Amino acid sequence: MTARPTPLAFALGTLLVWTLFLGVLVDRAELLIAAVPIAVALLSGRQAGGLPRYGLHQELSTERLAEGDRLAATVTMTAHDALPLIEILQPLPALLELRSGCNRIALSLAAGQEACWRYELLCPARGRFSFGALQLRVWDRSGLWSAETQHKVPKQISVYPFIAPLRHVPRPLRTQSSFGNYVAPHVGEGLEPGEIRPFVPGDRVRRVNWRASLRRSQLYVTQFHEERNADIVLLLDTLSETGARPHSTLDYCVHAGAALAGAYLARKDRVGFIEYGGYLRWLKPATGHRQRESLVEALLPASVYFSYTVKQLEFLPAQELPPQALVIALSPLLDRRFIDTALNLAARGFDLMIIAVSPIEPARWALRKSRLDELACRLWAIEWRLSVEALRRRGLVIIEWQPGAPLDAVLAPFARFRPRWAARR
Amino acid sequence: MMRQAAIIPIAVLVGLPVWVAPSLPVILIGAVASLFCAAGVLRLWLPSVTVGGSLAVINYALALSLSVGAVDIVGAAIFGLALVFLLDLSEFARRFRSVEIAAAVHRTQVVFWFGRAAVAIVAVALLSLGAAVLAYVIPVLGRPVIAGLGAAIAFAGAMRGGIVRGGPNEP
Repeated sequence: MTARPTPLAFALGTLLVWTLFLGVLVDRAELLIAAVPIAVALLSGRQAGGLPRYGLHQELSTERLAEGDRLAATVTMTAHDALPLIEILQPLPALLELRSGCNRIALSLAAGQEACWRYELLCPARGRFSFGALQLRVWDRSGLWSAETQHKVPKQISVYPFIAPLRHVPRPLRTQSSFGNYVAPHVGEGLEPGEIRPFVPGDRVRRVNWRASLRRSQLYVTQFHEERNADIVLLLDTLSETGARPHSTLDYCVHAGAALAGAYLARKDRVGFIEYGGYLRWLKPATGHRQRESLVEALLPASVYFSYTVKQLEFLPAQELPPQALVIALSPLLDRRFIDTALNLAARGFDLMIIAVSPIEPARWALRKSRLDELACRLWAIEWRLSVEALRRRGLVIIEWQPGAPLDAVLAPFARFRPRWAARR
Repeated sequence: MMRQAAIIPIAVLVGLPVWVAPSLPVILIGAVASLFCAAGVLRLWLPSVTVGGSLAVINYALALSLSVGAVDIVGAAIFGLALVFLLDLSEFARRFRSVEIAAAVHRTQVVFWFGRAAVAIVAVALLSLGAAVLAYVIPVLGRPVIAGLGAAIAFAGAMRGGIVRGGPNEP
């Protein structure tokens, strides 16, 4: 802690010099008398000898929140020595908004006295936020000296993305070997009836189709399709982002990813995750509640990181990107490198589906309302639509999603089959 | 609240010189000084308040040089206190803008300011009394010696202050 004179000390010093100088110059005692209160004020400043002893404790109402939740912070200060005037500031992480109370307070405490104050923050955006050190400024009562120090109480909160419930999710073309909710093309032990065939020794009697057998005077059995699960890999594009948080394209992609992960995991599918950007991060496909937590934790810090090199997906182990998996890419389709990767995946035979978050609306919300910006956005929308159509003609299945529209409604046409307009070959 | 209270010292700083010597230059300089002070208080900018205070001191010196009256101790003390209060109020408002201030802070700060003003008044009274006694006791030729002694003590005090400041609190 270093005590420093404040600007007030210099201002008083300036006025004292002026008063004395002019008093001598005009040879009037009044100015010398007027200098006395200024001199007394300067002499009343007492330089702090050391940091007073205190106890400071900060408590947060929770460390795990969802977007839009409120966080209550309570700070308690106990003065072991007298604190004539102390100012405490809790710097707020970016994106958190102060809703009630104040994160900066001035206190005056006698020795042994305790003070407590509380403020509320709104957490509108997902992410991990760290509450840094509390900044303390101890003032001399006269305001002529101040000393600053920090009190480190590291606290971190996680704001999880809002997970919208989805009734309809895109249906994968290929299924896996474990039990699930999709009717597999091959027959076996299942519930969904398929074709009938003549009875052969070894068939179960309960599978005999009596109606067909009576009609054809021969035993026929009904075959059943197996119900199998699928592998889903969410491919998040973090190479580009438009708009301002918490309404950027990346935020919408993360929302969509969290919603899709929740919906597929509820259908007993194995869901994996790949973040494709400055960092290449991945999560092996798995199922269950634990995987849901892992996925949301993986989605939480997704951000655009600048890097000169972008690793290719070929480097990924096969179990991270299974060949039979449905790959759902979440992207605004702005970066050429991501588009090339998507084309590469489709060419390698992956069941690829791109949820293209329109970058126009987030950019429009971030811009000020002017006719020029509006015109630019309209031109950009036309250009973006043309690029999407061009990619569709190259065989990519692209689902356009305008931010603000419900994702469930956008995905509904893909729940049973792939509409032809999604990919024009 | 602090900013509104700063109107009183500004009025004193502008009004006192006009009361001492009501003339056009004094009124004009007073108006400029009040503008600087008011702007500094409203914008919470201490340099503007300091400039306004300096102009008020110059204005007071001009008014005193234009007037031919006896020494007004009370007026001078009030002028000095108004200067200190103006700086204190504006700086307090600046320091603690957008800060939640506990009620005890306001109370103890006001008590401190008034206590310090009382000390200043006592100091003015004692110095005036001491000056009168010295003027009576010491002959005219001895007064420069007293003034030189005072200057030497002030210099020694300033030196000591500078040395002590570089002591235990330096990082």
